[in-house]
Amino acid sequence: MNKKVQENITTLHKDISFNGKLVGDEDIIISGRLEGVLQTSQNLTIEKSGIVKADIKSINLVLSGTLVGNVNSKGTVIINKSGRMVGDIKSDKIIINAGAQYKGTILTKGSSKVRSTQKISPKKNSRLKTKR
Amino acid sequence: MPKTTIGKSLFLDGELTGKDGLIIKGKLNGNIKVEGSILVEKDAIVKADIHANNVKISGEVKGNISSTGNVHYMEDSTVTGDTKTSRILIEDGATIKGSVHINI
Repeated sequence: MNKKVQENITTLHKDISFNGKLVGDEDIIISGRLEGVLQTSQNLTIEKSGIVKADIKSINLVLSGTLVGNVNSKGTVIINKSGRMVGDIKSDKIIINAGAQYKGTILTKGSSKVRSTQKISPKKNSRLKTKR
Repeated sequence: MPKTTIGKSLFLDGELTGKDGLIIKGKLNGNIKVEGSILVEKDAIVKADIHANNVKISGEVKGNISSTGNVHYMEDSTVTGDTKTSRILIEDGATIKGSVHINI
């Protein structure tokens, strides 16, 4: 079983750095450095030693290292206590553990509902205008 | 065994550098410069110049290979590009197009 699991995992080890675009359909674990674009249709893990400067698209994201860039996730984003992040997060579920450092904007599904209510309000204004 | 693995479904476009070794199962365009060994597996397609210690190729490589150790072209390998190394092993069935410099 373990071997099969390992076959579908991509890892970037501590002493490896990559500069460019990485696109894939499998789990990715990053312990090294990555700069550029990172897209996967599966889960992404950034380990404690991992340093990523990239815009990210993934299902789940677990961040224990450093991340500078925007995240677009279809699952859960978890920032562990050793995690540091600067950038915007777009996700349904976000967990930021105590001790984590974060700077950025968060967009969840709930906040998009808020947006839709905001859209209604200008209609009221337009009605007022017609009355005038 | 190197711990860094580029999986089958992955496509990388860019520069890969480091002190560790590599296993490539997916596709890679760009440049590879590592101090460890490189293994390009059977279905992998690499369009890049490779600088590494030991190089073992079973897949497809388009680009120049320079190695400080051994180069091993396995029977399924397809290599287009020049090879610079101190030791080379080419298996029966390997497809190679390019010049080979040994002992530089």
